[in-house]
Amino acid sequence: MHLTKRTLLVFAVICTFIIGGVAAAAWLSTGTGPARGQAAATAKGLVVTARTGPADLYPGVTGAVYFTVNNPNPYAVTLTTVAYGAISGGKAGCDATLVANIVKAVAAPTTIPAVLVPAGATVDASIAGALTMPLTVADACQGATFDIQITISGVSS
Amino acid sequence: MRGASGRWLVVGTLAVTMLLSLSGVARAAWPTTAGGPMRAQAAVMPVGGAPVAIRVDKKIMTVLIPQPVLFGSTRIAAFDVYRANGHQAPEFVSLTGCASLAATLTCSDLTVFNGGTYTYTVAPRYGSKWVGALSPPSNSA
Repeated sequence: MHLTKRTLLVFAVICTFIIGGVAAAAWLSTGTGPARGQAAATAKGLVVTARTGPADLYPGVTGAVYFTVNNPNPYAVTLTTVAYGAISGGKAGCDATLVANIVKAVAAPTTIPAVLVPAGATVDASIAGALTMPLTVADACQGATFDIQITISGVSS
Repeated sequence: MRGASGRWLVVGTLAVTMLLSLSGVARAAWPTTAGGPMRAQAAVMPVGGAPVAIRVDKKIMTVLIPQPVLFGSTRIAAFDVYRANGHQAPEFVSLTGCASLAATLTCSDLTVFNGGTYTYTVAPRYGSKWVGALSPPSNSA
């Protein structure tokens, strides 16, 4: 087999395009992951639990929500987005389902500052500006605790 | 000899290309979603210090709150005022200028009786419904 310098150059250029193409494909991945059933079977869901933070909700104020997230996977995860569900909690005389007492903030963030959860680690986190306490909130809501269900998403990192 | 080395060069390059391809796929982002609760905690109204009662004349008493009461970073601007005559239970003072101690944190009670001895307590108010606990009583005047 006789290879000229020109042939080698053309071959090298082709290889470069192949490598570049594969790299681009990985970068552009939206996170659906490679078609490897083995890897998918080992992925474990994050565990989110509520935690009590500073008492920073009062009438007319938008406050933060606090949580702890555990990552049981052998790879780090970065949390990036959140979706909010129902509000519960409160106490006697302070119904958490009444919009006069507590509501999701109009501008509650759906994209959050990235929270990195290392492999096998548990991290305390919070999202500012998630809940609003209207001026009409009942007096009985002083000191009350509210929980809001969330779905939080992220990607391996 | 040159032909053999050329073949090895091609084979080696292809092998490297495949390895790089595999490693590139392995770096793909892996989506994760989880559900659970987050928690928020409501504050509790602060308790102000004891007000000061000053008798102006036989039928007028001035009540003032000597120090501002802060709720978070906000200064409380409204108070409920209660008045006790001697050993009687405190009653809400609603018919005089003392119903609310606004920005000046002082007002006058025009409904005191001549010769009576009074003490005052105040409770901070915030929003339309939140009321704090009563302060310690003022001096007798």
